[in-house]
Amino acid sequence: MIRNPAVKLFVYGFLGLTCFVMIIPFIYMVSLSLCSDSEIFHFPPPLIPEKLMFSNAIRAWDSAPFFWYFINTVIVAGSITTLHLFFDPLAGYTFAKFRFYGRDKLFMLIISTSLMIPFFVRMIPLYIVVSRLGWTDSYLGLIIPFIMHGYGIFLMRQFIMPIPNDYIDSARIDGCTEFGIFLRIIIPMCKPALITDGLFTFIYNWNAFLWPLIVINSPNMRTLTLGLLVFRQEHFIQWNLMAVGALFLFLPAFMVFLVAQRYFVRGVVMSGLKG
Amino acid sequence: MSVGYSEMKQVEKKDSESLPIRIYRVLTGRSIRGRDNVVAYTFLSIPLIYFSLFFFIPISLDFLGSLYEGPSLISKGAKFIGLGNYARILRDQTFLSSLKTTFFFILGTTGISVVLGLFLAILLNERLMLRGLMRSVIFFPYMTSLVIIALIWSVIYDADVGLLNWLLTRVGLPTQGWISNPNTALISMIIMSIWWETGYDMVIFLAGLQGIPQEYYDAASVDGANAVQSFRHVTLPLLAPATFFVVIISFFNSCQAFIQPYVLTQGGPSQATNLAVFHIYNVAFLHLRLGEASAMAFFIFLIVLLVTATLFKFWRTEVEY
Repeated sequence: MIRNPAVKLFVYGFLGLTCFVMIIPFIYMVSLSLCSDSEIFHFPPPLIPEKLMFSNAIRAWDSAPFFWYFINTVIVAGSITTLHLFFDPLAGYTFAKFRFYGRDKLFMLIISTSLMIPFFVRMIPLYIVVSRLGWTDSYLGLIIPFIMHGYGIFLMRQFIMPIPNDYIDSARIDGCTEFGIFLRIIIPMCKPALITDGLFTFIYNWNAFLWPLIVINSPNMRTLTLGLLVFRQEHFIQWNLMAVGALFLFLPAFMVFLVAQRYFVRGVVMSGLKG
Repeated sequence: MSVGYSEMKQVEKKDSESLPIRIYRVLTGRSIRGRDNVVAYTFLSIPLIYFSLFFFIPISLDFLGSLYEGPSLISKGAKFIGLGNYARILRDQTFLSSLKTTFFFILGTTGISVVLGLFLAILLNERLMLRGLMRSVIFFPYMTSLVIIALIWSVIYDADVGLLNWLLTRVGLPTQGWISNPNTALISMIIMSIWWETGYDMVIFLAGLQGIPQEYYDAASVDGANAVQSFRHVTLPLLAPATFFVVIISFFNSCQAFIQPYVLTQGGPSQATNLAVFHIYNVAFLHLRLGEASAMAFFIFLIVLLVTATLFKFWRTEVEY
Protein backbone atom coordinates (compact mmCIF):
# COMPACT_ATOMS: atom_id res chain seq x y z
CA MET A 1 0.00 0.00 0.00
CA ILE A 2 1.14 3.50 -0.77
CA ARG A 3 0.41 5.92 2.07
CA ASN A 4 2.66 8.89 1.37
CA PRO A 5 0.49 11.40 -0.58
CA ALA A 6 3.43 12.76 -2.57
CA VAL A 7 4.34 9.26 -3.75
CA LYS A 8 0.71 8.58 -4.55
CA LEU A 9 0.51 11.72 -6.63
CA PHE A 10 3.63 10.74 -8.51
CA VAL A 11 2.33 7.20 -9.16
CA TYR A 12 -1.01 8.40 -10.48
CA GLY A 13 0.65 11.13 -12.50
CA PHE A 14 3.14 8.73 -14.07
CA LEU A 15 0.53 6.08 -14.84
CA GLY A 16 -1.90 8.67 -16.19
CA LEU A 17 0.76 10.07 -18.48
CA THR A 18 1.74 6.57 -19.66
CA CYS A 19 -1.87 5.67 -20.45
CA PHE A 20 -2.27 8.97 -22.29
CA VAL A 21 0.81 8.24 -24.40
CA MET A 22 -0.51 4.74 -25.12
CA ILE A 23 -3.93 5.97 -26.23
CA ILE A 24 -3.08 9.15 -28.13
CA PRO A 25 -1.89 7.48 -31.37
CA PHE A 26 -5.18 5.60 -31.59
CA ILE A 27 -7.20 8.77 -30.98
CA TYR A 28 -5.05 10.49 -33.58
CA MET A 29 -5.86 7.72 -36.06
CA VAL A 30 -9.60 8.09 -35.48
CA SER A 31 -9.53 11.88 -35.72
CA LEU A 32 -7.36 11.81 -38.85
CA SER A 33 -9.86 9.47 -40.47
CA LEU A 34 -12.58 12.07 -39.92
CA CYS A 35 -10.63 15.08 -41.22
CA SER A 36 -11.38 16.79 -44.50
CA ASP A 37 -8.69 16.81 -47.19
CA SER A 38 -7.51 20.31 -46.39
CA GLU A 39 -7.61 19.90 -42.62
CA ILE A 40 -4.94 17.18 -42.49
CA PHE A 41 -2.28 19.75 -43.41
CA HIS A 42 -3.16 22.22 -40.70
CA PHE A 43 -0.53 22.87 -38.14
CA PRO A 44 -1.34 22.00 -35.38
CA PRO A 45 -3.08 18.89 -36.65
CA PRO A 46 -6.66 18.89 -35.40
CA LEU A 47 -7.34 16.32 -32.68
CA ILE A 48 -11.02 17.11 -33.05
CA PRO A 49 -11.88 17.90 -36.68
CA GLU A 50 -14.20 20.82 -37.30
CA LYS A 51 -16.58 18.83 -39.41
CA LEU A 52 -16.69 15.04 -39.00
CA MET A 53 -16.22 13.64 -42.48
CA PHE A 54 -17.84 10.23 -42.21
CA SER A 55 -17.91 10.15 -45.99
CA ASN A 56 -14.16 9.41 -45.86
CA ALA A 57 -15.01 5.82 -45.01
CA ILE A 58 -17.01 5.42 -48.22
CA ARG A 59 -14.36 7.19 -50.30
CA ALA A 60 -11.61 4.93 -48.95
CA TRP A 61 -13.73 1.80 -49.37
CA ASP A 62 -14.45 2.72 -53.00
CA SER A 63 -10.90 3.67 -53.94
CA ALA A 64 -9.43 0.19 -53.32
CA PRO A 65 -10.88 -3.34 -53.34
CA PHE A 66 -11.10 -3.43 -49.55
CA PHE A 67 -14.01 -5.85 -49.79
CA TRP A 68 -11.73 -8.48 -51.33
CA TYR A 69 -8.93 -7.70 -48.89
CA PHE A 70 -11.41 -8.40 -46.12
CA ILE A 71 -12.65 -11.65 -47.65
CA ASN A 72 -9.07 -12.85 -48.24
CA THR A 73 -8.01 -12.03 -44.70
CA VAL A 74 -11.07 -13.71 -43.18
CA ILE A 75 -10.55 -16.84 -45.30
CA VAL A 76 -6.85 -17.06 -44.48
CA ALA A 77 -6.96 -16.20 -40.78
CA GLY A 78 -10.18 -18.22 -40.34
CA SER A 79 -8.86 -21.40 -41.98
CA ILE A 80 -5.55 -21.19 -40.16
CA THR A 81 -7.33 -20.81 -36.82
CA THR A 82 -9.73 -23.69 -37.52
CA LEU A 83 -6.91 -26.02 -38.52
CA HIS A 84 -4.89 -24.96 -35.48
CA LEU A 85 -7.80 -25.85 -33.23
CA PHE A 86 -7.78 -29.36 -34.66
CA PHE A 87 -4.08 -30.13 -35.04
CA ASP A 88 -2.67 -28.41 -31.94
CA PRO A 89 -4.78 -30.44 -29.50
CA LEU A 90 -4.31 -33.62 -31.59
CA ALA A 91 -0.54 -33.40 -31.38
CA GLY A 92 -0.66 -32.08 -27.81
CA TYR A 93 -2.88 -35.00 -26.74
CA THR A 94 -0.61 -37.53 -28.40
CA PHE A 95 2.48 -36.11 -26.70
CA ALA A 96 0.70 -35.90 -23.35
CA LYS A 97 -1.00 -39.28 -23.15
CA PHE A 98 0.75 -41.83 -25.34
CA ARG A 99 4.01 -43.62 -24.79
CA PHE A 100 5.66 -44.21 -28.11
CA TYR A 101 9.04 -44.63 -29.64
CA GLY A 102 10.99 -41.36 -29.75
CA ARG A 103 8.31 -39.27 -28.07
CA ASP A 104 10.49 -36.96 -25.97
CA LYS A 105 13.03 -36.39 -28.72
CA LEU A 106 10.33 -35.63 -31.25
CA PHE A 107 8.60 -33.25 -28.89
CA MET A 108 11.82 -31.38 -28.16
CA LEU A 109 12.59 -31.21 -31.87
CA ILE A 110 9.20 -29.70 -32.70
CA ILE A 111 9.26 -27.25 -29.80
CA SER A 112 12.80 -26.09 -30.37
CA THR A 113 12.50 -25.67 -34.13
CA SER A 114 9.26 -23.74 -33.92
CA LEU A 115 9.95 -21.65 -30.82
CA MET A 116 13.68 -21.08 -30.88
CA ILE A 117 14.33 -20.55 -34.58
CA PRO A 118 13.33 -17.11 -35.85
CA PHE A 119 11.13 -16.92 -38.91
CA PHE A 120 13.71 -15.14 -41.04
CA VAL A 121 15.87 -18.29 -41.02
CA ARG A 122 13.07 -20.26 -42.69
CA MET A 123 11.77 -17.45 -44.85
CA ILE A 124 13.81 -18.03 -48.01
CA PRO A 125 13.79 -21.87 -48.11
CA LEU A 126 10.11 -21.84 -47.15
CA TYR A 127 9.48 -19.71 -50.20
CA ILE A 128 11.41 -22.22 -52.32
CA VAL A 129 9.38 -25.13 -50.89
CA VAL A 130 6.08 -23.34 -51.41
CA SER A 131 6.93 -22.29 -54.95
CA ARG A 132 8.02 -25.88 -55.72
CA LEU A 133 4.59 -27.00 -54.57
CA GLY A 134 3.08 -24.42 -56.92
CA TRP A 135 1.34 -22.60 -54.11
CA THR A 136 2.64 -19.07 -54.57
CA ASP A 137 0.00 -16.41 -55.00
CA SER A 138 -2.77 -18.68 -53.67
CA TYR A 139 -4.74 -19.34 -50.52
CA LEU A 140 -2.89 -22.64 -50.12
CA GLY A 141 0.43 -20.82 -49.96
CA LEU A 142 -0.91 -18.45 -47.33
CA ILE A 143 -2.64 -21.09 -45.21
CA ILE A 144 -0.86 -24.45 -45.31
CA PRO A 145 2.58 -23.37 -43.99
CA PHE A 146 0.90 -22.11 -40.80
CA ILE A 147 -1.67 -24.73 -39.82
CA MET A 148 -0.01 -25.64 -36.53
CA HIS A 149 2.66 -24.32 -34.25
CA GLY A 150 4.90 -25.58 -31.49
CA TYR A 151 3.52 -22.97 -29.12
CA GLY A 152 -0.05 -24.26 -29.53
CA ILE A 153 1.06 -27.89 -29.24
CA PHE A 154 3.02 -27.09 -26.10
CA LEU A 155 0.06 -25.21 -24.60
CA MET A 156 -2.35 -28.07 -25.31
CA ARG A 157 0.06 -30.71 -24.01
CA GLN A 158 0.47 -28.77 -20.75
CA PHE A 159 -3.28 -28.51 -20.46
CA ILE A 160 -4.07 -32.15 -21.29
CA MET A 161 -1.41 -33.75 -19.08
CA PRO A 162 -3.26 -33.22 -15.77
CA ILE A 163 -6.50 -34.71 -17.15
CA PRO A 164 -6.85 -38.07 -15.33
CA ASN A 165 -6.19 -41.12 -17.49
CA ASP A 166 -9.29 -42.76 -16.04
CA TYR A 167 -11.48 -40.81 -18.48
CA ILE A 168 -9.50 -42.13 -21.41
CA ASP A 169 -9.28 -45.68 -20.06
CA SER A 170 -12.97 -45.98 -19.32
CA ALA A 171 -13.88 -44.67 -22.76
CA ARG A 172 -11.49 -47.22 -24.24
CA ILE A 173 -13.09 -50.04 -22.27
CA ASP A 174 -16.54 -48.84 -23.36
CA GLY A 175 -15.38 -49.40 -26.91
CA CYS A 176 -14.74 -45.84 -28.02
CA THR A 177 -12.29 -45.56 -30.92
CA GLU A 178 -9.00 -43.78 -30.33
CA PHE A 179 -10.04 -40.89 -32.54
CA GLY A 180 -13.42 -40.81 -30.82
CA ILE A 181 -11.70 -40.42 -27.46
CA PHE A 182 -9.83 -37.40 -28.80
CA LEU A 183 -12.91 -35.85 -30.36
CA ARG A 184 -15.50 -36.54 -27.64
CA ILE A 185 -13.48 -36.64 -24.43
CA ILE A 186 -10.35 -34.55 -24.88
CA ILE A 187 -11.58 -31.69 -27.08
CA PRO A 188 -14.55 -30.75 -24.84
CA MET A 189 -12.27 -30.74 -21.79
CA CYS A 190 -9.78 -28.35 -23.40
CA LYS A 191 -12.15 -25.49 -24.06
CA PRO A 192 -10.27 -22.78 -22.09
CA ALA A 193 -6.94 -23.65 -23.69
CA LEU A 194 -8.57 -23.85 -27.11
CA ILE A 195 -10.05 -20.37 -26.70
CA THR A 196 -6.64 -18.93 -25.82
CA ASP A 197 -4.91 -20.77 -28.66
CA GLY A 198 -7.60 -19.79 -31.16
CA LEU A 199 -7.62 -16.11 -30.22
CA PHE A 200 -3.86 -15.73 -30.44
CA THR A 201 -3.70 -17.61 -33.71
CA PHE A 202 -6.46 -15.50 -35.19
CA ILE A 203 -5.02 -12.14 -34.15
CA TYR A 204 -1.53 -13.16 -35.18
CA ASN A 205 -2.62 -14.20 -38.64
CA TRP A 206 -5.04 -11.32 -39.04
CA ASN A 207 -2.00 -9.06 -38.59
CA ALA A 208 0.44 -11.23 -40.58
CA PHE A 209 2.54 -9.23 -42.97
CA LEU A 210 5.93 -10.58 -44.00
CA TRP A 211 4.81 -13.92 -45.42
CA PRO A 212 1.89 -12.54 -47.47
CA LEU A 213 4.29 -9.90 -48.78
CA ILE A 214 6.58 -12.66 -50.04
CA VAL A 215 4.08 -15.08 -51.60
CA ILE A 216 1.38 -12.77 -52.97
CA ASN A 217 1.80 -11.04 -56.32
CA SER A 218 -1.63 -10.45 -57.80
CA PRO A 219 -3.73 -7.55 -56.43
CA ASN A 220 -6.88 -9.62 -55.89
CA MET A 221 -5.05 -12.04 -53.54
CA ARG A 222 -3.87 -9.30 -51.16
CA THR A 223 -4.73 -9.48 -47.51
CA LEU A 224 -5.73 -6.37 -45.55
CA THR A 225 -2.22 -5.57 -44.31
CA LEU A 226 -0.80 -5.74 -47.85
CA GLY A 227 -3.74 -3.86 -49.32
CA LEU A 228 -3.28 -1.14 -46.76
CA LEU A 229 0.35 -0.65 -47.76
CA VAL A 230 -0.47 -0.45 -51.46
CA PHE A 231 -3.27 1.93 -50.61
CA ARG A 232 -0.78 4.11 -48.78
CA GLN A 233 1.60 4.16 -51.74
CA GLU A 234 -1.24 5.34 -53.98
CA HIS A 235 -2.77 7.84 -51.54
CA PHE A 236 0.41 8.93 -49.86
CA ILE A 237 -0.82 12.47 -49.35
CA GLN A 238 -4.32 11.60 -48.19
CA TRP A 239 -3.68 10.70 -44.59
CA ASN A 240 -7.37 10.82 -43.78
CA LEU A 241 -8.12 7.99 -46.21
CA MET A 242 -5.04 6.11 -45.04
CA ALA A 243 -6.31 6.36 -41.46
CA VAL A 244 -9.67 4.98 -42.58
CA GLY A 245 -7.86 2.04 -44.16
CA ALA A 246 -5.94 1.49 -40.94
CA LEU A 247 -9.26 1.48 -39.08
CA PHE A 248 -10.59 -1.23 -41.41
CA LEU A 249 -7.74 -3.44 -40.25
CA PHE A 250 -7.87 -2.24 -36.67
CA LEU A 251 -11.57 -2.47 -35.75
CA PRO A 252 -12.18 -6.24 -36.13
CA ALA A 253 -9.10 -7.06 -34.05
CA PHE A 254 -10.11 -4.42 -31.51
CA MET A 255 -13.58 -5.98 -31.13
CA VAL A 256 -12.03 -9.39 -30.56
CA PHE A 257 -9.69 -7.89 -27.97
CA LEU A 258 -12.52 -6.12 -26.11
CA VAL A 259 -14.70 -9.22 -25.96
CA ALA A 260 -11.95 -11.66 -24.99
CA GLN A 261 -9.50 -9.47 -23.13
CA ARG A 262 -9.02 -11.72 -20.12
CA TYR A 263 -8.14 -14.67 -22.36
CA PHE A 264 -5.39 -12.63 -23.97
CA VAL A 265 -3.82 -11.68 -20.68
CA ARG A 266 -4.13 -15.26 -19.47
CA GLY A 267 -2.61 -16.55 -22.68
CA VAL A 268 0.39 -14.27 -22.36
CA VAL A 269 0.88 -15.37 -18.77
CA MET A 270 0.45 -19.07 -19.59
CA SER A 271 2.98 -18.94 -22.36
CA GLY A 272 5.38 -17.00 -20.19
CA LEU A 273 5.47 -18.74 -16.90
CA LYS A 274 4.75 -22.35 -17.64
CA GLY A 275 7.50 -22.49 -20.23
CA MET B 1 9.75 -27.30 -19.42
CA SER B 2 11.62 -29.36 -16.88
CA VAL B 3 8.55 -29.26 -14.63
CA GLY B 4 6.52 -30.66 -17.50
CA TYR B 5 8.82 -33.60 -17.89
CA SER B 6 8.84 -34.65 -14.28
CA GLU B 7 5.06 -34.42 -14.26
CA MET B 8 4.94 -36.60 -17.30
CA LYS B 9 7.19 -39.22 -15.73
CA GLN B 10 4.93 -39.38 -12.69
CA VAL B 11 1.85 -39.81 -14.84
CA GLU B 12 3.58 -42.62 -16.67
CA LYS B 13 4.42 -44.51 -13.51
CA LYS B 14 0.87 -44.21 -12.28
CA ASP B 15 -0.80 -45.36 -15.46
CA SER B 16 1.43 -48.36 -15.95
CA GLU B 17 0.00 -49.65 -12.69
CA SER B 18 -3.56 -48.48 -13.15
CA LEU B 19 -6.23 -51.15 -12.91
CA PRO B 20 -8.30 -50.40 -16.05
CA ILE B 21 -5.19 -50.66 -18.21
CA ARG B 22 -4.30 -54.02 -16.72
CA ILE B 23 -7.86 -55.29 -17.22
CA TYR B 24 -7.78 -54.01 -20.77
CA ARG B 25 -4.52 -55.77 -21.45
CA VAL B 26 -5.81 -59.04 -20.01
CA LEU B 27 -9.09 -58.81 -21.94
CA THR B 28 -7.63 -57.95 -25.33
CA GLY B 29 -4.34 -59.73 -24.98
CA ARG B 30 -2.65 -56.79 -26.67
CA SER B 31 0.37 -54.95 -25.46
CA ILE B 32 -0.41 -51.34 -24.71
CA ARG B 33 3.03 -50.20 -25.82
CA GLY B 34 2.77 -51.58 -29.36
CA ARG B 35 -0.72 -50.24 -29.73
CA ASP B 36 0.35 -46.83 -28.44
CA ASN B 37 3.02 -46.65 -31.10
CA VAL B 38 0.55 -47.29 -33.90
CA VAL B 39 -2.09 -44.88 -32.63
CA ALA B 40 0.41 -42.16 -31.75
CA TYR B 41 2.11 -42.22 -35.11
CA THR B 42 -1.23 -42.28 -36.90
CA PHE B 43 -2.27 -39.18 -34.98
CA LEU B 44 1.07 -37.54 -35.60
CA SER B 45 1.28 -38.43 -39.30
CA ILE B 46 -0.02 -35.10 -40.59
CA PRO B 47 1.84 -33.00 -37.99
CA LEU B 48 5.06 -34.82 -38.85
CA ILE B 49 4.66 -34.25 -42.57
CA TYR B 50 3.84 -30.63 -41.82
CA PHE B 51 6.82 -30.02 -39.58
CA SER B 52 9.19 -31.79 -41.95
CA LEU B 53 7.99 -29.82 -44.95
CA PHE B 54 7.76 -26.38 -43.37
CA PHE B 55 10.26 -26.52 -40.51
CA PHE B 56 12.90 -29.25 -40.68
CA ILE B 57 13.57 -29.18 -44.42
CA PRO B 58 13.57 -25.37 -44.78
CA ILE B 59 15.91 -24.97 -41.83
CA SER B 60 18.41 -27.43 -43.30
CA LEU B 61 17.90 -25.94 -46.75
CA ASP B 62 18.85 -22.53 -45.42
CA PHE B 63 22.38 -23.65 -44.72
CA LEU B 64 22.61 -25.70 -47.91
CA GLY B 65 21.28 -22.82 -49.98
CA SER B 66 23.85 -20.47 -48.53
CA LEU B 67 26.58 -22.55 -50.18
CA TYR B 68 25.31 -21.86 -53.69
CA GLU B 69 25.63 -18.90 -55.92
CA GLY B 70 22.82 -17.77 -58.20
CA PRO B 71 19.14 -17.05 -57.86
CA SER B 72 18.50 -20.13 -55.74
CA LEU B 73 19.64 -23.57 -54.77
CA ILE B 74 17.14 -25.30 -57.05
CA SER B 75 17.45 -23.13 -60.11
CA LYS B 76 19.49 -24.31 -63.10
CA GLY B 77 22.25 -21.73 -62.79
CA ALA B 78 23.05 -22.60 -59.18
CA LYS B 79 26.74 -23.07 -58.64
CA PHE B 80 28.32 -24.59 -55.54
CA ILE B 81 30.75 -22.09 -54.06
CA GLY B 82 31.24 -23.44 -50.55
CA LEU B 83 31.59 -20.68 -48.03
CA GLY B 84 32.02 -18.04 -50.74
CA ASN B 85 28.77 -16.30 -49.82
CA TYR B 86 29.95 -15.96 -46.24
CA ALA B 87 33.22 -14.42 -47.35
CA ARG B 88 31.26 -12.03 -49.50
CA ILE B 89 28.76 -10.89 -46.87
CA LEU B 90 31.52 -10.33 -44.32
CA ARG B 91 33.12 -7.85 -46.73
CA ASP B 92 29.77 -6.25 -47.57
CA GLN B 93 29.70 -2.88 -45.83
CA THR B 94 25.91 -2.55 -46.13
CA PHE B 95 25.39 -5.86 -44.38
CA LEU B 96 27.90 -5.08 -41.65
CA SER B 97 26.36 -1.70 -40.99
CA SER B 98 22.89 -3.27 -40.90
CA LEU B 99 24.21 -5.67 -38.23
CA LYS B 100 25.41 -2.69 -36.24
CA THR B 101 22.07 -0.91 -36.64
CA THR B 102 20.24 -4.06 -35.54
CA PHE B 103 22.49 -4.36 -32.50
CA PHE B 104 21.65 -0.83 -31.36
CA PHE B 105 17.98 -1.37 -32.13
CA ILE B 106 17.86 -4.55 -30.02
CA LEU B 107 19.82 -2.96 -27.20
CA GLY B 108 17.64 0.15 -27.07
CA THR B 109 14.29 -1.57 -27.48
CA THR B 110 14.91 -4.52 -25.18
CA GLY B 111 16.78 -2.57 -22.52
CA ILE B 112 14.31 0.26 -22.11
CA SER B 113 11.10 -1.72 -22.56
CA VAL B 114 12.15 -4.31 -19.97
CA VAL B 115 13.03 -1.67 -17.37
CA LEU B 116 9.92 0.37 -18.12
CA GLY B 117 7.74 -2.76 -18.11
CA LEU B 118 9.11 -3.77 -14.71
CA PHE B 119 8.53 -0.30 -13.31
CA LEU B 120 4.95 -0.18 -14.60
CA ALA B 121 4.26 -3.68 -13.30
CA ILE B 122 5.44 -2.72 -9.82
CA LEU B 123 3.22 0.37 -9.81
CA LEU B 124 0.21 -1.48 -11.21
CA ASN B 125 0.62 -4.27 -8.67
CA GLU B 126 -0.42 -1.80 -5.94
CA ARG B 127 -4.08 -1.29 -5.10
CA LEU B 128 -4.96 1.68 -7.27
CA MET B 129 -8.09 3.11 -8.77
CA LEU B 130 -8.75 2.01 -12.38
CA ARG B 131 -5.93 -0.50 -12.11
CA GLY B 132 -7.50 -3.03 -14.49
CA LEU B 133 -8.29 -0.38 -17.09
CA MET B 134 -4.77 1.05 -16.97
CA ARG B 135 -3.27 -2.42 -17.41
CA SER B 136 -5.43 -3.07 -20.47
CA VAL B 137 -4.62 0.31 -21.99
CA ILE B 138 -0.89 -0.22 -21.60
CA PHE B 139 -1.06 -3.81 -22.89
CA PHE B 140 -3.27 -2.96 -25.85
CA PRO B 141 -0.68 -1.72 -28.39
CA TYR B 142 1.02 -5.13 -28.35
CA MET B 143 -2.16 -6.73 -29.67
CA THR B 144 -2.42 -4.24 -32.53
CA SER B 145 -0.91 -4.88 -35.94
CA LEU B 146 2.50 -3.26 -36.28
CA VAL B 147 1.47 -2.18 -39.77
CA ILE B 148 -1.21 0.07 -38.26
CA ILE B 149 1.15 1.29 -35.58
CA ALA B 150 3.90 2.16 -38.03
CA LEU B 151 1.39 3.96 -40.27
CA ILE B 152 0.10 6.14 -37.42
CA TRP B 153 3.59 6.86 -36.14
CA SER B 154 4.79 7.82 -39.59
CA VAL B 155 2.20 10.62 -39.43
CA ILE B 156 3.08 11.47 -35.82
CA TYR B 157 6.76 11.73 -36.80
CA ASP B 158 6.10 13.85 -39.89
CA ALA B 159 8.59 16.72 -39.91
CA ASP B 160 6.17 19.38 -41.18
CA VAL B 161 2.75 18.73 -39.70
CA GLY B 162 3.32 15.82 -37.33
CA LEU B 163 1.90 15.67 -33.81
CA LEU B 164 5.28 15.35 -32.16
CA ASN B 165 6.78 18.46 -33.71
CA TRP B 166 3.66 20.38 -32.81
CA LEU B 167 4.15 19.31 -29.18
CA LEU B 168 7.80 20.42 -29.34
CA THR B 169 6.90 23.86 -30.63
CA ARG B 170 4.27 24.08 -27.90
CA VAL B 171 6.87 23.66 -25.16
CA GLY B 172 9.34 25.89 -27.00
CA LEU B 173 11.80 23.27 -28.27
CA PRO B 174 13.19 23.18 -31.80
CA THR B 175 11.44 20.75 -34.15
CA GLN B 176 13.18 17.57 -35.28
CA GLY B 177 13.32 15.69 -38.54
CA TRP B 178 12.57 12.40 -36.71
CA ILE B 179 12.37 9.66 -39.34
CA SER B 180 13.59 11.92 -42.14
CA ASN B 181 16.87 12.69 -40.40
CA PRO B 182 19.56 9.95 -40.39
CA ASN B 183 20.65 10.94 -36.89
CA THR B 184 17.25 10.53 -35.26
CA ALA B 185 15.59 7.88 -37.48
CA LEU B 186 16.82 4.87 -35.52
CA ILE B 187 15.94 6.49 -32.20
CA SER B 188 12.45 7.27 -33.51
CA MET B 189 12.04 3.65 -34.51
CA ILE B 190 13.24 2.47 -31.10
CA ILE B 191 10.77 4.77 -29.35
CA MET B 192 7.91 3.37 -31.41
CA SER B 193 8.96 -0.22 -30.71
CA ILE B 194 9.24 0.46 -26.99
CA TRP B 195 5.77 1.98 -27.08
CA TRP B 196 4.54 -1.18 -28.78
CA GLU B 197 6.24 -3.74 -26.55
CA THR B 198 6.30 -2.36 -23.02
CA GLY B 199 2.77 -3.54 -22.24
CA TYR B 200 3.68 -7.14 -22.97
CA ASP B 201 6.70 -7.00 -20.69
CA MET B 202 4.51 -5.45 -18.01
CA VAL B 203 1.95 -8.28 -18.16
CA ILE B 204 4.65 -10.95 -17.75
CA PHE B 205 6.22 -9.04 -14.85
CA LEU B 206 2.79 -8.61 -13.23
CA ALA B 207 2.24 -12.36 -13.37
CA GLY B 208 5.68 -12.86 -11.85
CA LEU B 209 5.00 -10.34 -9.07
CA GLN B 210 1.72 -12.00 -8.20
CA GLY B 211 3.57 -15.26 -7.69
CA ILE B 212 5.69 -13.82 -4.86
CA PRO B 213 4.14 -14.68 -1.49
CA GLN B 214 3.38 -11.72 0.78
CA GLU B 215 5.12 -13.53 3.68
CA TYR B 216 8.51 -12.85 2.11
CA TYR B 217 7.89 -9.11 2.28
CA ASP B 218 6.57 -9.43 5.83
CA ALA B 219 9.68 -11.32 6.82
CA ALA B 220 11.86 -8.71 5.16
CA SER B 221 10.15 -5.85 6.98
CA VAL B 222 10.39 -7.70 10.30
CA ASP B 223 14.12 -7.89 9.66
CA GLY B 224 14.08 -4.12 9.20
CA ALA B 225 14.41 -3.92 5.42
CA ASN B 226 13.23 -0.72 3.78
CA ALA B 227 11.37 -0.58 0.46
CA VAL B 228 14.53 -0.40 -1.63
CA GLN B 229 16.18 -3.27 0.23
CA SER B 230 13.15 -5.55 -0.02
CA PHE B 231 12.96 -4.76 -3.75
CA ARG B 232 16.64 -5.58 -4.16
CA HIS B 233 16.65 -8.75 -2.07
CA VAL B 234 13.13 -10.14 -2.43
CA THR B 235 11.45 -8.86 -5.59
CA LEU B 236 14.37 -8.88 -8.01
CA PRO B 237 15.69 -12.39 -7.28
CA LEU B 238 12.20 -13.90 -7.29
CA LEU B 239 11.38 -12.15 -10.55
CA ALA B 240 14.43 -13.65 -12.26
CA PRO B 241 12.49 -16.28 -14.26
CA ALA B 242 10.02 -13.67 -15.52
CA THR B 243 12.87 -11.29 -16.35
CA PHE B 244 14.70 -13.99 -18.25
CA PHE B 245 11.60 -14.80 -20.25
CA VAL B 246 10.86 -11.17 -21.04
CA VAL B 247 14.44 -10.53 -22.15
CA ILE B 248 14.43 -13.57 -24.44
CA ILE B 249 11.09 -12.72 -26.05
CA SER B 250 12.00 -9.07 -26.41
CA PHE B 251 15.33 -10.02 -27.94
CA PHE B 252 13.59 -12.32 -30.41
CA ASN B 253 11.00 -9.69 -31.27
CA SER B 254 13.52 -6.99 -31.97
CA CYS B 255 16.01 -9.11 -33.88
CA GLN B 256 13.14 -10.10 -36.18
CA ALA B 257 11.83 -6.55 -36.62
CA PHE B 258 10.72 -6.13 -40.20
CA ILE B 259 7.52 -4.09 -40.31
CA GLN B 260 9.12 -1.14 -38.52
CA PRO B 261 11.68 -0.42 -41.26
CA TYR B 262 9.41 -1.57 -44.09
CA VAL B 263 6.48 0.69 -43.25
CA LEU B 264 8.08 3.52 -41.30
CA THR B 265 11.32 4.29 -43.11
CA GLN B 266 12.09 1.80 -45.91
CA GLY B 267 15.45 1.36 -44.22
CA GLY B 268 16.43 4.97 -44.83
CA PRO B 269 17.38 7.75 -44.65
CA SER B 270 20.86 6.78 -45.88
CA GLN B 271 20.37 3.29 -44.43
CA ALA B 272 20.15 4.55 -40.86
CA THR B 273 17.33 2.09 -40.10
CA ASN B 274 18.35 -0.78 -42.36
CA LEU B 275 17.60 -3.59 -39.88
CA ALA B 276 18.96 -7.05 -40.62
CA VAL B 277 15.74 -8.86 -41.56
CA PHE B 278 14.69 -5.98 -43.79
CA HIS B 279 18.08 -6.15 -45.46
CA ILE B 280 17.79 -9.93 -45.96
CA TYR B 281 14.33 -9.48 -47.43
CA ASN B 282 15.63 -6.92 -49.93
CA VAL B 283 18.64 -8.98 -50.95
CA ALA B 284 16.50 -12.10 -51.37
CA PHE B 285 13.30 -10.86 -52.95
CA LEU B 286 14.26 -7.56 -54.56
CA HIS B 287 17.76 -8.34 -55.82
CA LEU B 288 17.02 -12.09 -56.02
CA ARG B 289 20.37 -13.09 -54.54
CA LEU B 290 18.92 -15.96 -52.54
CA GLY B 291 22.24 -17.66 -51.79
CA GLU B 292 23.73 -14.54 -50.30
CA ALA B 293 20.54 -13.79 -48.35
CA SER B 294 20.50 -17.36 -46.98
CA ALA B 295 24.08 -16.90 -45.83
CA MET B 296 23.11 -13.67 -44.05
CA ALA B 297 20.12 -15.35 -42.41
CA PHE B 298 22.23 -18.26 -41.27
CA PHE B 299 24.99 -16.00 -40.00
CA ILE B 300 22.56 -13.93 -37.94
CA PHE B 301 20.92 -17.10 -36.73
CA LEU B 302 24.27 -18.28 -35.37
CA ILE B 303 24.66 -14.99 -33.49
CA VAL B 304 21.12 -15.29 -32.12
CA LEU B 305 21.86 -18.84 -31.02
CA LEU B 306 25.06 -17.73 -29.32
CA VAL B 307 23.31 -14.89 -27.48
CA THR B 308 20.44 -17.14 -26.43
CA ALA B 309 22.83 -19.81 -25.17
CA THR B 310 24.79 -17.18 -23.23
CA LEU B 311 21.57 -15.85 -21.70
CA PHE B 312 20.55 -19.38 -20.72
CA LYS B 313 23.91 -20.04 -19.13
CA PHE B 314 23.90 -16.74 -17.30
CA TRP B 315 20.37 -17.48 -16.12
CA ARG B 316 21.28 -20.96 -14.88
CA THR B 317 24.13 -19.68 -12.76
CA GLU B 318 22.50 -16.47 -11.55
CA VAL B 319 18.97 -17.55 -10.85
CA GLU B 320 19.48 -20.47 -8.53
CA TYR B 321 18.53 -19.31 -5.11
